[in-house]
Amino acid sequence: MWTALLALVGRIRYWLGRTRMDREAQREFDEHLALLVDRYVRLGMTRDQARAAARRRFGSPLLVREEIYQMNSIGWLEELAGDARYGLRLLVRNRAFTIVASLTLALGIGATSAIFSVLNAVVFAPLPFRDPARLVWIQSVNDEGNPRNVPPQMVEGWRRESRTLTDAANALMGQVNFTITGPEGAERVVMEQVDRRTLRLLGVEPILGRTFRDDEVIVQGNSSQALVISYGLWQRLFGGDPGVIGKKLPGSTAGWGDLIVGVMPRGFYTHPSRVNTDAWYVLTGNPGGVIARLAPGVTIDQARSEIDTVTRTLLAQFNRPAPRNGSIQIQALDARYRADYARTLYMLLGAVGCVLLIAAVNVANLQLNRGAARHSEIAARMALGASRLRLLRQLIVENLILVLVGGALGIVVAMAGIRVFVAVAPDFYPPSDEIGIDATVLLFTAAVCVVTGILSGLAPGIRASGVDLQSALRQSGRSADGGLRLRVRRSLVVSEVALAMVLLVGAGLMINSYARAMSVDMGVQVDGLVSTRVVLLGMDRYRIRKSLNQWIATPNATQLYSRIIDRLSAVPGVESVAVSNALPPGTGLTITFRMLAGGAQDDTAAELHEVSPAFFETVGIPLRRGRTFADTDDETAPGVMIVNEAFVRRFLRGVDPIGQSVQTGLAAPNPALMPDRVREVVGVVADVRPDMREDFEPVMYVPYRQHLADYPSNFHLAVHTSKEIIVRGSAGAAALTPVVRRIVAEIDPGVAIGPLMSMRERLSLAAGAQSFWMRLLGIFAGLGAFLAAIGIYGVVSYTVQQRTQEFGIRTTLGAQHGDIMKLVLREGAAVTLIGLVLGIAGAFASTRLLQNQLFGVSRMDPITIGVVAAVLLAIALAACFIPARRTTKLNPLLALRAE
Amino acid sequence: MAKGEGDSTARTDVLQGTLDLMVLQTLDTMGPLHGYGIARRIEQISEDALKLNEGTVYASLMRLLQRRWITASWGTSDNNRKARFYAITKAGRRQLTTQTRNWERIATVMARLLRRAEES
Repeated sequence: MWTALLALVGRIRYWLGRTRMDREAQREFDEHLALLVDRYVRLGMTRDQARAAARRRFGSPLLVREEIYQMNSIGWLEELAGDARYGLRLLVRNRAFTIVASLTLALGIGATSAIFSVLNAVVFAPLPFRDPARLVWIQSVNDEGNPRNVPPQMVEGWRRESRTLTDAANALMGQVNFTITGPEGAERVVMEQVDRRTLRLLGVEPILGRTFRDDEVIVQGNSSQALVISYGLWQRLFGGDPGVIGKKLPGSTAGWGDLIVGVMPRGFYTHPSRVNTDAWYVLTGNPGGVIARLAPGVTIDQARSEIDTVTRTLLAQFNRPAPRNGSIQIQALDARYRADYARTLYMLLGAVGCVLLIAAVNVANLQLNRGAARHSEIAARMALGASRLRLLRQLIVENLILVLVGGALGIVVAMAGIRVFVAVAPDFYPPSDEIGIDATVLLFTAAVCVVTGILSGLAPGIRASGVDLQSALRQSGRSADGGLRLRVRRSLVVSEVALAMVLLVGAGLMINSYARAMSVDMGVQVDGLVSTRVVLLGMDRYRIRKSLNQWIATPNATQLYSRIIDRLSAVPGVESVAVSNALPPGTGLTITFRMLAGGAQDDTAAELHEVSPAFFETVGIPLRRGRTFADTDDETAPGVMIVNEAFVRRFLRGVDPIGQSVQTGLAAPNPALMPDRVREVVGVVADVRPDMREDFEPVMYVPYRQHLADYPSNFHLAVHTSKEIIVRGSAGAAALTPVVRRIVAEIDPGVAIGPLMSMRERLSLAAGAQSFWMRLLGIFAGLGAFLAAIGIYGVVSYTVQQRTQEFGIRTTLGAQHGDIMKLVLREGAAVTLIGLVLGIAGAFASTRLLQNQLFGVSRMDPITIGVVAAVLLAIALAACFIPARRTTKLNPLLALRAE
Repeated sequence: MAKGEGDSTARTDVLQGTLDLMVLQTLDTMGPLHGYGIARRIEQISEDALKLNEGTVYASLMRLLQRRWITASWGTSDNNRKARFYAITKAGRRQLTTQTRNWERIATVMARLLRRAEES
């Protein structure tokens, strides 16, 4: 094997210089002969005798040279090069064909490569943790499969008792926005809560300082003082200062951790969707998911059975009964973190594969077209002794060249495709700068090219090499072969139409879903509504430490809001301004409450929205009963509350809601908590949907000037210190952004304001998954339909050309132009209809995969399918129409003579 | 391949692989040689028992070159003519050892086999 390879390499080496070598051999032989002649002369021969003897002795120099020359040739490779040269010449000569075919292929190959490169970057690449294969995700689920919280002491117990796990920690807790003061003014910082052990468990070393320790100093009752910051924040706030360790975060996040102890490397994240985290702090006693590291050599199954046992032992130790239902699930972290988008991407790869198939079928079709023209050429070559295999090879080589050109262009398409993908992909995709064309992608593209080339060259190749010499050489392009060829071509077009139909149905369903999601009545007046969020959480000016681990708001926050409202209301183009901690789509925080009269339940909770008086008017929520808030509903006035209709339905059924007394902030885990004032329900408003997919939830509205004295947790403090500024009016988001920024900066330069966003944009973001699918499938379906149309056009043109003579006869016999056109269109329609039927069957089989992404439509929605089928039929008939019209210009006499 | 012309009485045709082995062996014992030298050496050793068209030596040399068992370089021969000199490489020596061993094994087997055939 090795020797053979060596010999081949040697061959190629000498092949390169074999003409020179041949000259040298000639010289060498001459010398050799001269020496032999000398020798024979010395032995006593005459010069002539010696020359003859030397010849005899040496043998024929010509034969040896020929042998050596052959030895230094690489037969098949050279023939291949010949094929390639010939193919290239043909491709250059048939410029129109080459351009259409290679662009078709470029689209298919490029789109496929783009999706593959995303898959390559976000699914195939290992998670950026140490030894990621040993990381697992553990969760406890009930019988319905819904996850339950795993108490921290259980996680601790697993770590202590289990021998199959070397470490376990809570993970995927919350992220909180803070406003701090950076070198360029106010700055928004995203802080992520982690377990003490999370960063160590993931095994990524900090580039400076340390990560968290088991004995981290805890402030505020449950969060650490220590803070580990991201590479990005380190650069942004500290300019990459190596002396950052031991410094405090400027501004203040005190109480949430502010002492910088470490800097994580660039690109570090705890979960692909958490790339925006700026800093990590420890939150204890807050159950989240659980990640764990398997001991070396332990399988997930071994760990699962051991954890079951350990859990039972631990529950007995904690004196807790074993849960009656549910189970503990363990899965690879990789699968857990990536399952969602891996599934999505594989489906997209499938969709884009359809586009590629259509492209390949198209090229096969074009080749067949050309094959017809090359009929006599091929016949001539066969008559001259070319073997069928040789011809097939020639055709496949030609195709490979075509596909490689298409592939090279495809890489360009792929680069553009990746940009499109990144632009439309929703945020749950990991950082996009990792997505690109690397060696793996190139390899994939090359493989796709080769397979496509062989596939699209095979059918035409076999057809062409199966040429019947006799009939072909008779110079009549229309042999018996024509009928068979047409059948092949028709079935190719049928498959194209079917594939395009599958794609179009998918895209149609997604467009439908998106439209339905966007037209859901959210309970707000969408047009003319813009908003942005102001975050005061963590700013010292707006809070007071009440006890070691509890903070409350200062009156400054209320004042800030009221000044913002006043100033903004005076801006031209602004009709009304309001603030609220929650604005759809999105929910507020829930809080416990009880009814003082009417004997309502104690242990109940509802969402708490703290709003300014103009909120209902601004957002467009109609008042059903009673009154809305007024500016006079302040600290000195009696406590008031407005509830929504869902609240009345749930908690006040059969009672007059107006005048009921409600008290919130009870039964909270914090014993030092002061209950809220008693509030009287003064109004009932219509419901607002927190999300397009969700139902109405009970909401309690309280005036922002009458905010709670205490909040059950520091987290709940956000109800008062993090507000959406909502503006209704004719001034757009873009125009208002600088205005709002200026006004807020004049009141408090330490408060950062993000750009304003229209309600429509917010809703569209919330429908992100639908819009993502809609756009990508839309692009693929559009490509597919376009390519299929080209295919239909091709086959109908071909038919028209083939049947010119027949049409001529028909015309002479009295057929009208319209009749013949009908004939042609019928042909196209027949092919398309068969394709449509097959496509609907294909869609039935494949849209099951889309089920989860659909909203408000069934996956076999007859209207969608009907509309899509009509569109495709229209496109197909348009493609037929062009060649069909050509028949009307037919001159019967010429047609009859047509050969 | 070149055929002998005429007198084919006592001389034996040379097998392709055998010629390669002979060339390698020659270069190993004699050091770098040109084609003519190799032909002379083989002639001398075989004492004219082998029928060899000397041109075929060059085909053999090309085969060996391709496998990098020998190298070639231009030089000047004893009588001041330009000639290509061939020298065995390290890989060539290794090959020679294995080939020699193979050859000996086959030769032994053949000898035994043929003796049996003669005896019976």
